[in-house]
Amino acid sequence: MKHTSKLIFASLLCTQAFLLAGCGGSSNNDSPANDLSTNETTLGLPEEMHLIMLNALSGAYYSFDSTTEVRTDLNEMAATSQDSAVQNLQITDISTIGHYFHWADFRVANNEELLDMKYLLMVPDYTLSDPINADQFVHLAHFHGDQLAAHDAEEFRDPEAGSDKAAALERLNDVVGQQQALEEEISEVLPNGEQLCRAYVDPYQQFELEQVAEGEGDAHDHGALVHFALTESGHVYFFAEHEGVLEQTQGYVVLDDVVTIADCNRTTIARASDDGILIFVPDTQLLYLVDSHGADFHQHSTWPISLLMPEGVSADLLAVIGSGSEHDHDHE
Amino acid sequence: MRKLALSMLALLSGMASAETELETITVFGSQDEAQQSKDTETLRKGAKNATLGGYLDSLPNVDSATYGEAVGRPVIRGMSGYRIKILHNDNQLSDLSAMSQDHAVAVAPRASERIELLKGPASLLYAAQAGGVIKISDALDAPFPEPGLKGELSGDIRSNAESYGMDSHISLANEHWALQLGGLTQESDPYQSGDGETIADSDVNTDQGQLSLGWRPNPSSELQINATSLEKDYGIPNATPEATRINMQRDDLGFKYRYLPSPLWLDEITLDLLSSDYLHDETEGGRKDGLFGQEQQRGTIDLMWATDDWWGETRLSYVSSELKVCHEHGACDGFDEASRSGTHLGEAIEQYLLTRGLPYSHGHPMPDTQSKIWQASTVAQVMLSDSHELITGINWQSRQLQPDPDNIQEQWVYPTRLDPDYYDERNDHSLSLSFGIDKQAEVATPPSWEISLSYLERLPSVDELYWNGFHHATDSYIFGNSELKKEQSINFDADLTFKHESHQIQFSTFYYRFWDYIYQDRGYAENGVALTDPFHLSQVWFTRQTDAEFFGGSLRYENRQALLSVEPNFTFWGQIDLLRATDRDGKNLPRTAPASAEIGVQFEQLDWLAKLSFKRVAKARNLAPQEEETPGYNWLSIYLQHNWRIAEQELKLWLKGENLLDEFAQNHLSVLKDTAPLPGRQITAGIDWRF
Repeated sequence: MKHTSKLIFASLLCTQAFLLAGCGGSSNNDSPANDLSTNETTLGLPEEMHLIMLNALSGAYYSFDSTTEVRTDLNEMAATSQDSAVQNLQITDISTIGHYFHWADFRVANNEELLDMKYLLMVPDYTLSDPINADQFVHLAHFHGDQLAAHDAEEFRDPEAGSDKAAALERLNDVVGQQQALEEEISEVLPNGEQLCRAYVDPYQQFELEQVAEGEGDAHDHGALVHFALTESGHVYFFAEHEGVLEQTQGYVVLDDVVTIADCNRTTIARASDDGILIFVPDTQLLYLVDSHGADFHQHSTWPISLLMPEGVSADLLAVIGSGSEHDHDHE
Repeated sequence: MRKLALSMLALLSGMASAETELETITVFGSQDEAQQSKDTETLRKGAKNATLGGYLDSLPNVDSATYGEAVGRPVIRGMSGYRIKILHNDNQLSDLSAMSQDHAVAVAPRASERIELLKGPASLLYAAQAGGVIKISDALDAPFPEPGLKGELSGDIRSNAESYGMDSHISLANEHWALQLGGLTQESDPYQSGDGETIADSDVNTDQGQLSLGWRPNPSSELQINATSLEKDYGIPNATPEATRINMQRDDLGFKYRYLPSPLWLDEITLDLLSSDYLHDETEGGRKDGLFGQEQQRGTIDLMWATDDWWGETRLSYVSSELKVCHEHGACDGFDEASRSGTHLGEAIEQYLLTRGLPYSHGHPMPDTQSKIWQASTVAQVMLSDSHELITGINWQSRQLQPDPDNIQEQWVYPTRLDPDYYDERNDHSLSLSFGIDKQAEVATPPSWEISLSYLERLPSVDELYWNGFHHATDSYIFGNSELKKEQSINFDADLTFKHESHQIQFSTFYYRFWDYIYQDRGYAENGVALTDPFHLSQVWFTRQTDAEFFGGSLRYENRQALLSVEPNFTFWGQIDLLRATDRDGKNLPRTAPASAEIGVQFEQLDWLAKLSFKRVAKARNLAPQEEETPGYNWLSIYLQHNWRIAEQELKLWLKGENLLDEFAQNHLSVLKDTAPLPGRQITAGIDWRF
């Protein structure tokens, strides 16, 4: 073989191997994490959730599907939709933006108990001690099939007695009352010096336990219902009922970067799975996953909200609709 | 005398040997060329897989700590991890394979030309490690290959797991210039164990590219710029429900200047500068949960010298490196400084100490740590008589560690209330000495022998000191120990070779006594229940020190006969390896290699080579407390090769079979022996072409 041919042949092989080595290194240089539609790497958020984020100053309003990792501009969607329920999502007046109220709505339809996750955009003056009526929220949002949509608060003004709307308000105010009772109960058992910011129990597990208690559901061993408490200092406490009294089940978890939470109404706690919760703290612009794997709850992960929002847009409110990651009864 | 010195220089500077037999590996620095190095082609014939451990574990008292198909770190005479230093072309390999069993050695042995195992005084030139030094040399080790255009191309395919590998090397050189290019790619699917089960996440992909440009302005000076880029992507066949994978990348850029002074006492001066960037991520279910990075800059001056009686080599080096580790579920895309809100540091750790009695952490497991290491070493030899030689080695090291916890989330910073000095700058020194005497056999006066006695000091590694956290790939929680003292050992090695006519007997033995031996000990509560961490319920391991001793040996018999030939071409051999490792209380240390025995035959005739070997690895009986037994197994191997030589070209076709009995076999040294048993029957066919 002539030298020239040998050179070409060997160089080709070398080049091939060299290129393979060079190209193969790309996995260390992933695209920016918010460029998800073209990236194999996912954010790793618990799936089956929609996160609805609102900037109180600009009215920027986005939803983020944690399964598909697709972000939707809700104002734009509302503006271009022919569906009046979708149009109701439009933020038209930022002065009416207060905070979200999460409503896990249990209702009976066709003799079947359903759990429908909803949220209300409350006006700034609303406090939990008040029952909710049409003056105290802007809209009530939930999924109509696959489509996020909203009922304008005016639809609930002076509802006819016995109507669906009146029944809905009644169920809603029951939940308000339960939430109030939960917060009072937890405030009493918090360690001295801690101020409750938000209290939470998983509505799915609560629903399941209630069904089991009524003899209607399958018993899954989730242990006692965990009562979560977020304090103003960013600590998360865990309680469970023992002989009618709430007892702390483990040490508290410290959320990264939180010194003091300025506006507890604008924090969020939502179910991420049977094993944990998502917490949003606007002061840190972080989403925290606090979960357990059969042992202690701990801060498992954090995600900057900037990964979910367009560049330069922050979130002041965050609502979560969805059941979270798969209902894992095997705890695999 | 000078001639002997120069032959040593030639050897140390990289002249390849053409060894074709397995021989003793212990090297004190003065044996003949054949006993000091193994050419990679020879090792490949007996290699169990493509890892460094796989290439070496057929050698006496050498084992491979496997972690699936991708990882196999050599264990030499029971010494593993930081007790073995791996060099790539004379520079310490900048990887993190010594840190944890799942971290692969960042080198592709297939692309190398020669692998040497140094022990005793000779090894102190590079490092003071009880397990010695593994010196891997590839074509780039010699800036100037043979003049003209030369090249090599190798390829192979394998059954179980289906895989292929290809590597090539080409050089173009004249009197003043030399260009070398090398490339390697290997891809392997998940393999099947001996019981036919496909081992999930046991696939491996390796790619490497190399480039070297040499310039020789005059006969006494050589300059070389070289670059190596290696990437390895592999699965971890552990028991986690989601796939665990590691993607590893090492990029080296080096400059070498070699000067041959006029005939003085100084024979050669080499200046070696290297910048190395190592990074690997650990993913679970596709999420980047872990990231390990090490950037290293290294400068070495090496002097080869000889006086009328003495000759040797002196080495001065400085290494600056920074080690960074990330543990954050799905968020380890890079290394960042953690934010500080002003609250007191370490609040969550204090709470765990209060509630669970141990300072558990779920944050980044280590502070970013800058290391500065100065090292000076010398190996010197002198002939005591015509056949007896004395060799001495000394190695001094000074290390400064600067741990910086700014990367650790504030709640997981180790609290000053627990240890105010935890993150203080730390300065340590070590001094190691070794002496050896050997007798070279003359035809009429066998045997040849060599003994060495070493006192070695090893400084605790950065992770042994500062690690506090979870490790995803090993599914374990590890507590480092900032109070560790340096590990000290007395190492005695002896080798005897007796040749008589067609018989050859080699006997090696060793005894290592350690003080403050650093090891990881499984954690148990007072009631005997195994500890698990509060976050992932993983096993908890503590880094502790104890006194320990290792002893063992190897006996090898060879008989060479002439079969259908005038020259001896038929070899029969048998070999036995034994090892014990105990702590000061006489308890066995974990994962100690079980006894093994091997017999084999090799036949060479004209252009044919055939080799058949049978190895019996005994049941692991010397178990550490709570350690599970590992059954013994049989391993049958075969190798066939035919060579053609046409003009200046050489072509080899070869066929290799491993575990031909398709036995279900587990490696007692592997932490993953249950989920990743050894592969079942494997057949590999390959071709090598040299021109």
